[in-house]
Amino acid sequence: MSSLFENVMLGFSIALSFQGILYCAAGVLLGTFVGVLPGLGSMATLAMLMPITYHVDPTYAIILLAGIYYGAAYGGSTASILLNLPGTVTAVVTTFDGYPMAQQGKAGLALFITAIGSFVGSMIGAVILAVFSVPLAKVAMSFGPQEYTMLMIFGLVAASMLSTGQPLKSLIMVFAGILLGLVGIDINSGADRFTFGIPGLFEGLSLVAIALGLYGLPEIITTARGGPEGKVTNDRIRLRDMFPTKEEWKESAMPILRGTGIGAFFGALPGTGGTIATFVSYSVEKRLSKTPEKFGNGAIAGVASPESANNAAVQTAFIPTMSLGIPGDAVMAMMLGVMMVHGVIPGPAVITEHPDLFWGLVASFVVGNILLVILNVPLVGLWIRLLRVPYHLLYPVMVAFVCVGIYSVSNSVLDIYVLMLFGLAGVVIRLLKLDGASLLLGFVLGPMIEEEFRRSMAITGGDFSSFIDRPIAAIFGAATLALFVFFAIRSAMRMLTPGMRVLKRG
Amino acid sequence: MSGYVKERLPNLLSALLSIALGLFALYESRIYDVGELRDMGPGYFPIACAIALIGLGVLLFIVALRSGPSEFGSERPSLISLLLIGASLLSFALLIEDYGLFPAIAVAVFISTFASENRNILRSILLALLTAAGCVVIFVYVLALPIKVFAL
Repeated sequence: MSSLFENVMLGFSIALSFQGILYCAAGVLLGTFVGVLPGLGSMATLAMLMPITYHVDPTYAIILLAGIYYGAAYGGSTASILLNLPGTVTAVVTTFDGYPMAQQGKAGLALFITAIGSFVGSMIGAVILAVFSVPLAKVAMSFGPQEYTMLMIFGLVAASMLSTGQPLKSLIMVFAGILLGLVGIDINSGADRFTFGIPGLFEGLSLVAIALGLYGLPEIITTARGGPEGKVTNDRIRLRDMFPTKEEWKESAMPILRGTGIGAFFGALPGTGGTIATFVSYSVEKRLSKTPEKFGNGAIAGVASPESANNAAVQTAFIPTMSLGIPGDAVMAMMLGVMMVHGVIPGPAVITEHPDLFWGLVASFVVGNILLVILNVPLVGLWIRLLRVPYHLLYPVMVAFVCVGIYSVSNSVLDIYVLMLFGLAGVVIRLLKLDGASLLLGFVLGPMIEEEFRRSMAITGGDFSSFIDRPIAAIFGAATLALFVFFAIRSAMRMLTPGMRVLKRG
Repeated sequence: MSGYVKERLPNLLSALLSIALGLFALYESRIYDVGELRDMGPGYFPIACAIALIGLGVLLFIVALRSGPSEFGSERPSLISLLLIGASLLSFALLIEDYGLFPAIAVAVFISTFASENRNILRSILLALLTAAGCVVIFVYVLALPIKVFAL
């Protein structure tokens, strides 16, 4: 396939250009930097650093943003191993065996295996992304508005229902998000909706303000007082202690490959993503292991597999986002939002119309992951030192970054007030255990669904049967319905027979 | 408030919030043209979503009342931190246009330092000035954003 080869070469010509390397390096460095800090997840990291990407060309903006994302995932595991405090949700599993390893004086080994596992997972994930996106986008080229409407609804419902938390509450957040997405001037009729006559809202609410409000601010506020404290190991981690023995290589090779497979699969599905992949891969390894009792006490496979899974999932999550224009989780919704800000219309045409963007991104994964290995293996001491900086000196700097960041997007003071409002909403959301990710997904997808639904109704003259006549639309519709029925039955059973589970066990 | 309701408060409050948001959206959309299915007006979709929110809210209310207790989230910020970070952002919003980036950042950072238990005025002032200087270098000189350092 010469065309694939040509495309890959095009990608590398961008990723290896001066600017390509610069933004990729900046992304992974910043991402690791914030990701290492416990209490700030990858969403907060992304939201906080997103404003910078607004001032960069779209291709480099996406490279930068993606670098921040997987850099944060990487930094998260460093904090997991050294502090027993996961820097990101996807690094929770890494604490199970990573921290015990560190306590046994094998922190260096755990970090090294994390680096190798993440690297292998990312590389295989990137290859899968490169191979599958083009054919998928070709199929999607034939999609009409009906297919898109149903696909997006399916994506939203799946993402909200399969995420952690109560499906009903997530669904409520989806609709709230859609309503927020409708704020501004309606492109079809020119009517202004939910703007309260404020001119600054005519273009809609700012994605950065919402993302920062929901994720960045509450995490800063919560950690400001009595933030997570952990004891950083005082041992110096030397390079030669990091390198695994032949036995340890053998022990981690298969888990890395299995983790990659599991991660790649879950990453591409809407709503599931890296977090579930890490838990699944961990339990698979524990079940397959000849020494399951080692798990939880520093099993090397318990670090290798989830870390590979997590990173493979990061890469394959881009498949639906880039080839269909459908984000599977909140992070991908933000990627899509940034693309739209830069005038790139998400959908199957992105790969053919902006080959530099897509292939540059794929190639940057390779560059970024090599940089990450360099950053995290020889330079791990740097991050340990960062973990020793008292948190009360760090968070005010973050507040400053949030302020300038949000203001710089469009020099608008209104955005700061919107941010404050959503910061408050973010605190309430955490308090009531609502699902902020679903809100963000609804916000990004809502206006697109309205547009496609309107179009399909206009074409067919208000006839719903076209959703059933067109097989692909019908399949997505049926899948959505199946999800609804499944969760409705499940919750009805729970409600009617609260004692059932107890009885079953007894 | 009875213990039964109290135990289920987080989900009940979520339900009421959903209903309130739906009603508010419905009220706001009353002036938008609904149109018809084959030619939807600007009001069609928002009204449908608002009704869905109300419906789901009612459903959640019923489900919450009939199922087991729900819990509040464990991540609870202290009220002082919340207010101080809020005040910090507000000060930035009020100062940035009229006084410029450096003073706005310095004041915002100064206020925010008191959100933690650590209180040392001298250190706060130093951190505020250093952060403001750093932000000026990064955003105005390196990233070349059109923001005035001092606007007087």
